[in-house]
Amino acid sequence: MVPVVCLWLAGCASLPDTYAPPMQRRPVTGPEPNPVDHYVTMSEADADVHFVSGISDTTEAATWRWTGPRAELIFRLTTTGHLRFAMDFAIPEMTFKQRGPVAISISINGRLLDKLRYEKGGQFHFEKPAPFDWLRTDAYNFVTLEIDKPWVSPDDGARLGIILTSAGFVQ
Amino acid sequence: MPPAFYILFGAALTVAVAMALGKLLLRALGLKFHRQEEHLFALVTGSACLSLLVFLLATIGVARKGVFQPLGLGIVAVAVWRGAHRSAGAPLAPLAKFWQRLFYAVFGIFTVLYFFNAMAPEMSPDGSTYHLGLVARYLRNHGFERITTNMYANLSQGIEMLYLFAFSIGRHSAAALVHFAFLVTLPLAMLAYARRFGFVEAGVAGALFTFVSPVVGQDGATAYIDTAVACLLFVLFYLLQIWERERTPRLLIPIGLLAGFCYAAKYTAVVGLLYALGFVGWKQLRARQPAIRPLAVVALCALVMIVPWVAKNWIWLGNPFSPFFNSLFPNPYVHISFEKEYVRHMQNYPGLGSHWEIPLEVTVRGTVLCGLLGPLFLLAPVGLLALRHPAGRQLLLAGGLFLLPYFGNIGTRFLIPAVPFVSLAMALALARWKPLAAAFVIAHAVASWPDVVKTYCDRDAWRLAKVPVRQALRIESEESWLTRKSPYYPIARLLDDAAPPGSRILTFSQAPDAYTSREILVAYQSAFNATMGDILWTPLIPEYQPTWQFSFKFPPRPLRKVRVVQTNDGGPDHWSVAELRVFSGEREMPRASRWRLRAHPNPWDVQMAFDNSPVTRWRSWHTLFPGMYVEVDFGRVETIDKVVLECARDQYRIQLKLEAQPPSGEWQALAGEPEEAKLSQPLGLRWAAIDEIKRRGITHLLVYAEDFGADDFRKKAVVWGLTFLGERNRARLYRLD
Repeated sequence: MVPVVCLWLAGCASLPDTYAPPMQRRPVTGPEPNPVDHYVTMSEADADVHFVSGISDTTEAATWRWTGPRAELIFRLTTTGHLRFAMDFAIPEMTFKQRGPVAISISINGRLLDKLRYEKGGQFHFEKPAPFDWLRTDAYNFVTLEIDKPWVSPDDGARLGIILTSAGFVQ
Repeated sequence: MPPAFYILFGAALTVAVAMALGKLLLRALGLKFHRQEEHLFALVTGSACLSLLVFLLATIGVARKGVFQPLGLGIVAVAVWRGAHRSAGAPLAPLAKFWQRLFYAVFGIFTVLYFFNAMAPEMSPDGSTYHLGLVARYLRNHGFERITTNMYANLSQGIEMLYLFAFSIGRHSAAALVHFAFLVTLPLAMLAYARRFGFVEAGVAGALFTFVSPVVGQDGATAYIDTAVACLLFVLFYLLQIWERERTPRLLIPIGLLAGFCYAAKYTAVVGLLYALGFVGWKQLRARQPAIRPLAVVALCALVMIVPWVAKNWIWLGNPFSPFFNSLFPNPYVHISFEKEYVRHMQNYPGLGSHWEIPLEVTVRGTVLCGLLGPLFLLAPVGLLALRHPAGRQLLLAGGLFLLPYFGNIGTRFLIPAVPFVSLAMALALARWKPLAAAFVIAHAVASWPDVVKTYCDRDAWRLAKVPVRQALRIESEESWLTRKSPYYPIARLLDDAAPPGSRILTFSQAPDAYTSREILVAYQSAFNATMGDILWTPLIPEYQPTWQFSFKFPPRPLRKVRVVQTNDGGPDHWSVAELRVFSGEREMPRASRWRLRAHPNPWDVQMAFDNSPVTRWRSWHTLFPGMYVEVDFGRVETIDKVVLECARDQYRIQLKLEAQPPSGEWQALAGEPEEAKLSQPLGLRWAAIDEIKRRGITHLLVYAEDFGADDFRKKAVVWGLTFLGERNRARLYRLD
């Protein structure tokens, strides 16, 4: 009996059948409001606004790009305190046969943050506090990645550095 | 007064009021029981009365300590004044010395364990989230409010009404102690039943098999409800057995109330009502006596307990049984797809290789299915030997029926309602060899003690770990203990500290509702929340973005309505439309206010296909079936020649056709196959997504490190338009700017 009564009652519940068009949103015609920000992921549609030089125009597998021997990126920060520079990248094992161990120098606004050395390939995550007095909020911050020995592609002779997935400043 | 006083007073007053109401009811009905039974039946039937009373107080908005406390004391005073506290019944058959000592020794030791765990700060996963989260919310509001964003608020909450009474005085632990009261009542009721029906030794063994079972103790020592439900079902069974012998018509009143209270306590416990009706009907028919009147008494009394919960859901949600049966009662608050997914999930816990693993999981391991009964229950099939005994047949029949809901949710604690029956059946079989039965009791008790359990169960099994005396007595403060031990509590503190009152916080995982006054919306817990989640994930998942265009072109025609119909069948795809645009020549027709939009299914979100936002979309929230449509009524005749759909790509199997209604005439097919095109990935999606959920009243995001997209929120907070406010236990709180 209860289900029958409920069916009947629920049938009486009044919910609108049709709706008027809602308020129209502004068409999205441009990129994100702040295209240059504190972090870039290579899969983003507007990732290239962060590139100054040394990074491939092509996103591979929708997730990564080759850097050249020297890559330069820009970031815009709204604060300088308690930030860490973080970077996800990979070095293909096959490149070691040609170039041997690889050293990567990471600089922020011209100051060396760290120099990393790798003797084997793999995927890596780097994260290190960025001194606040190296950073600025009133202008772009430049991050430079310098790879001591480029890998020369046997296919087209391109001089390549590392595979970059994402980089930038995080709290 | 020390906090422990309020905890104990809150729980004690709740139990005392329930017992007083029960005594008054049973006395008013002139029912006679044995002395030991009177207290048990009074507590359980009185709980039903108190639960209903609290429901009514919450409905009229006076659910507060200042009402509960004087009302409760008044009820107790009336009961004492009426002499209800004095027992009139004869005692049950005495226990033999050995069995009495065995029972009280084991019962006493485990009661201490359970008591201190129940009194310790509550941090069980469901207790500290929705069970007490909703209770706390009702108390803040002094009653119910229309909640459409939390499906748990739609479940019947009969036990939570008792918790509300206790919580108003002693907060979380007082509520858990009310559950503990049912935990203690259950074995006493089992023993009393066995004593009345003449199998005392089996009663002792069966009661202890249940009581010391690790999952029963763990559940009953928290603000869950499963052990209380088991207690209700057992006492219902017990009363029916008495009724069968005595045929006292008035006994059908508490039976009916209790059967209804089973539903009010938990939907799945409606099996108690079915059992009661079936039992009474069958026994009347076998005795060649009219069944209509007794059945009507049971049904009407049950309805008294059931109707409030059904009516609440019907009035507020349009679905009397929400969050289930949404196909039968379509509503905007719970998606049909969610219900199906939820049911499937409950039947297949992650980590369970096959259903053949269930016996070992629920008895020994305890991680995947959340809790263990103890290795003794590997011998559960022994209970079938009890079929030789009339009481055994009754127990197994009831236990079998109460086991049925388990197949809808295979978590160990969903076995608890059937455990007392299985325990007594096993004990009946074993009691033929009394020393053996006693040995099994002792072995099971030893194997169920926390220090022993941990030697054989999985490391992460859901179980009690120790006797937390210092924490229960608040020698160590609640704040300190919860901060150290609860994964949720520090997050609750973050929410209260960093989000202002009135904040609405969206999150993708369970959150500590019971310890924060901020409103938390968990993405899976309602249709609204799921839509917020869909919007937030659109920037992160390319397949969610509207990059797939369908154009229906045809010679210019005057039309009154057009609709795009989906014609394919089957899952897993849902159909969705980000935008539906209508063209006349090269010009898109502006969406006039006279237009009327309609969709089937899920008509309530149709505006999302007409808002010009790339992050919102109308979704069917239902797997594909022919006849789904999105329709525009122009409100007058318009001449058009093209209809364009912008869709996401996460719907590979959709097949679309266009239909139109000319000024006079029936719906007819228009245009042929649509032309497909690839649109470029829209930009500005993160900002647009935050803008959309802000428009819907969300003020904050709580993102756990394990949540999908957590890294993107962290790294791209500025682009999303989020301000990072703080992090606790790997959960980060952002404010929507």
